Amino acid sequence: MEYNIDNFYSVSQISNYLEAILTQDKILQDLWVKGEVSNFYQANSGHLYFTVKDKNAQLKTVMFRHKSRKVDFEIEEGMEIVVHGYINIYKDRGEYQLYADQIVPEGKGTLYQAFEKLKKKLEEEGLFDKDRKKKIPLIPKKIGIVTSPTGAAVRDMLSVVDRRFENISILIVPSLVQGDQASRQIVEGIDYLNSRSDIDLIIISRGGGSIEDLWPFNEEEVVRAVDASKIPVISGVGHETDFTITDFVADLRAPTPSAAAELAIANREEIEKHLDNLSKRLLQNQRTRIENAHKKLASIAERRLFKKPSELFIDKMQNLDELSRELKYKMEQTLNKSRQRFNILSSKIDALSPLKTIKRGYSITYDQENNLISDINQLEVGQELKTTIINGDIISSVQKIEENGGLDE
Amino acid sequence: MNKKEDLNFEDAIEELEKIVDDLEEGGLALKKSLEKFSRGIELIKYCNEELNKTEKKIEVLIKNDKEIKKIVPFEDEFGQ
Repeated sequence: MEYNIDNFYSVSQISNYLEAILTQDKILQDLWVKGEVSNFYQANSGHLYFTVKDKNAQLKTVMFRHKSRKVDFEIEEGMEIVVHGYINIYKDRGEYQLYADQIVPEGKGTLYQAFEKLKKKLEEEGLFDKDRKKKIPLIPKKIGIVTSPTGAAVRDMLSVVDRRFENISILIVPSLVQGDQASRQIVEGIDYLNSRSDIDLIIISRGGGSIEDLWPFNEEEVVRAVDASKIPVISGVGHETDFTITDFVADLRAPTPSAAAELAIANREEIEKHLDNLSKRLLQNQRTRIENAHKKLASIAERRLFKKPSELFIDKMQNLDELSRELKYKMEQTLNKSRQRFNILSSKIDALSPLKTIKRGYSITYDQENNLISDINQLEVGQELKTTIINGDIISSVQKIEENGGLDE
Repeated sequence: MNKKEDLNFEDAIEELEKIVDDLEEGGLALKKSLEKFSRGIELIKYCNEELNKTEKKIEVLIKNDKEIKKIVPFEDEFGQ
C-alpha cells in the first residue's frame, strides 16, 4: 500500500479493530494458561498484577479485586500456576493482556478433581438431601466442638459465646484440623461426642486456609462421619467463600467459625422474646376471657328474675288462691245440694215411717217367731199373736179366721 | 406437670404456640379454655426452667496416646 495522505488509520481505530478480532475469538475468550508467576504486585485497590511466563514468552495478567478475593492461597514469585480468563488489549498501553478470573496453583488440579468427584458421588448417594438434615436444637444443652484448641477458630467461637450468652455448656474435643492425621482425629472426635449422652449439638470447625489446609474436611471418612452422626452437626470451616464437602453434608453450614457459634446459640434471645410474647398473649387472652365471663355473669345477675325472684311465683300464688277459692265454693255447693237432697229424703222417709201410721191407730201383728202377719193363710185358730200399737204390745190368740177377698189400697 | 413427661423444648414451644392460637381463636368452652390455659402456664414454666438450666461451662477433653481421657476447664489448659 502506498502512502497517501488521505489513507491512514488512527491508533484508536487499530486498537478497536484488534479488540473486535480478539473478542470474537472463542479460544481467546475462555482459556486456561499455565506458567510461572513473576513481577507479582497487589495494588492498594486490591487488584492483582503479574506476569505469567514460560521459557520463551510472557503474558501480562490482571486480576480485579472482585475476582481476586476468591483466591484462597498466597501468590508468590516463581510459583507455578494455572490461570483462567480471557485475552484483550489494554489500549492505554497498547498491550494485550490476560484478564484473569480464577487461579489454581499448579499441582492442585488433582485436588479440585478429587473434590468434584467425591462431591458428585455423595450427591448421587443422596447424602446432601434436605430431608436428611437433622433439626438444630433451639436451646442446646451442651455443645461439643471438634476443632484445634489453639487455633483462631476456637477463640472466635468462644468470644461469640462470651458476648452472646451467659449459660452455655461447651466441651471442646481437640483435633488436628490440617495434615494427614486430621481426618482421623476429626472422625474420632465426632464418634466420641456421639458416645456421650449429654451432647445435643456438634460444631466442627477450623479457620481459613488453602485448599490443602481445608482438605481434611473434603475427606470421605470425615464426610461420612458427619453424615452418620446421630447428633446434629454444624460445620464452620474456613471463610465465607470456602466450601468443603463437609459443608454440604452437615445439618447446617456456617460460613465461618464465629457464625457457627452464632447459629448454635443466637436463637436464645429470639426464643426468650418469643416465649415472653406467648406468655403475654396467653395471660391477656385468659384475662379477657375471665373479664368477659364476669361481665356476662353481672349482666345476667342484673336481670329481674334474679333481682326479684318472688316475681317468678307471685302469679302462681295468686293462681293458687283462685283455685282454692273455687274449690271451696264448689265443695260448698255440692254439700248444699246433698244436704237439700237429704232433707227431702228424710221427710219422705218420715212420711213413710210405720211409726207414723201406728200413731194414727194402726197396729202390726207378728207370730210367735216375730214374723210379720200380712196374710190370713199364715194363721191358725188358737195361734198366739203379738200386736204392737203405739204405746205397747198386746198378746192374744186367734178365735176365728174370716177371709174378705183382700182390701183395696 | 409430670416430671417424667417426655417433653423437649422444641415440642413445648410448639404446643404452647398452638394453645395460644386456639385460645385466641376463641369458641372454646370456659372449662376447656381453663384447661388449656393451665397447660400453657405449665409449658411456660417448663421452657423457662429449660432456658435457665444450663450453666456456663467451657471444658476441653484431654487425651494422651493411651486414650486416657479427662475433662478440664478450657481456660486452665489453653487460656492465655
